Amino acid sequence: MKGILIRDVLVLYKRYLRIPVVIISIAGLVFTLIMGFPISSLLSLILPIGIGALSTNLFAEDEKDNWLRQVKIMPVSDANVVCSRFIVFMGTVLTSSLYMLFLNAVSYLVHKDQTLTFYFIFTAMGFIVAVFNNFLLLPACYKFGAQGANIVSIGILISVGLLTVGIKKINIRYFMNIYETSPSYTIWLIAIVIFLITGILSVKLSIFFYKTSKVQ
Amino acid sequence: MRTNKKIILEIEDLEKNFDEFQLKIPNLSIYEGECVGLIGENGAGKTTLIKLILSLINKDKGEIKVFESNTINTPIKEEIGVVFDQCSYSGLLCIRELNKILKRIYINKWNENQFISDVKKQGLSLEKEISTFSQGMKAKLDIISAFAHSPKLLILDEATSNLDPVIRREINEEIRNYTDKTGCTILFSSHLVNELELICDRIFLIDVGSIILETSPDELKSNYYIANIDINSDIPNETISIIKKENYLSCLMYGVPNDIDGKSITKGVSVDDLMYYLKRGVKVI
Repeated sequence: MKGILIRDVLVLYKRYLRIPVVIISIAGLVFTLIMGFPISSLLSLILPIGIGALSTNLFAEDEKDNWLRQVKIMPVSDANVVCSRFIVFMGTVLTSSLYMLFLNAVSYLVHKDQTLTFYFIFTAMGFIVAVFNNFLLLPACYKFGAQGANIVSIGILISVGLLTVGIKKINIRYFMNIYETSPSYTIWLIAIVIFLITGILSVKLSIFFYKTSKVQ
Repeated sequence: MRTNKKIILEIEDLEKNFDEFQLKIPNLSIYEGECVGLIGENGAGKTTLIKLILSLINKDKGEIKVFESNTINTPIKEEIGVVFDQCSYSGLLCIRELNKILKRIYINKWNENQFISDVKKQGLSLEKEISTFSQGMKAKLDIISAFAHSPKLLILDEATSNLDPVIRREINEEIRNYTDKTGCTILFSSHLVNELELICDRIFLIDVGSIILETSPDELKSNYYIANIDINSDIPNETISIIKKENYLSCLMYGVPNDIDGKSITKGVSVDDLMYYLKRGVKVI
């Protein structure tokens, strides 16, 4: 698995992350120093998802090199190939979130316009959204190639639309009551279970799509 | 002699159906240490057969055994080296990085010293990105990478077809030297038939999804003839295929020809001739 992981990291870094990462890091720091919370909170949400979207270009690179054909004849299991890509994607999200943690701390120290917890809530939100985005992106990319990212975006837009319609029709108060009356550990437990189930489903689906993918 | 050797690859009643194409191989066996050529026009089914052998696509019927196993699992993959028509390593990587990757993939089998030494011997740079290499350099890199994990079966799918004749010859010589040295079994597919004559022990001619002939370079030289006979003469018994020319018939024949009322007889044919007569001629037997 290590070999596949190194290949993915090197290709991703050399092709897509080297220059954008330097530019984004410097620009993010400068703007945070100037503007404080509005920029650091916005970046906390955008950066991890943006870096995840950049990572989907790995699939375009695979198609260009016909890497899938090569990797399928190498002594590496399907699960290892897919899991290494999950590690790469999650690694990029984690790295960008850690950088945002640093930017938010800098912003707090310089501006002190919000509490430190409030700053970090945005970092956590960005991280969680980006992780869930990857859970959707990876199976879609294994099924549709680099086009999978577009399909996920369309899917998210449709889901948001349906949610908006749903909110109008259902009594949101009912859910709020459950939330308010449940002990906090239950909410955490539910969140962790949802996270785990989504993650496992995403990996399983990705392995299935990888196994059944057509080789050129 | 051949029957005493271990069978490396065995195919029985293999079938794969596509919308407009069917691959059907009743049986094919490749023995340890053999260099076997698969020849045929583009689209004849060579790559499909190789993909089936490597389990890159699913078969509809039949059995494929590689190293006596029905499935291509991880230990078996370690024993197989494959070189395709195009280099699949990312152009962004350099050979030093590729070595780091491949030695972690072929954990038990990767010979780093051999790889680096072969790379240097071929004059390839360890530090330059692969994208800066020519087609010939990329093909050499593919072959060196395949050799570096000491495969017992080497499969080459049109591996040298895109190269100029000089590089192609160099690579073919490398392959032949490697098999002579290691006893590795080779399955070599190409539509450039002359190169197979030089390195293969046996040749399978594949056409529209079926193997239409199995022969060897020696057999081609000693047992096949081309005879040009008068248009009104009787067709000799040994004739396999006939092509009608303007005022004579050109016959591909097998075996020792008897008296022929003809113009000329040429002993020994090339694989090119064989393909031409079998594809374009009228088959007699």
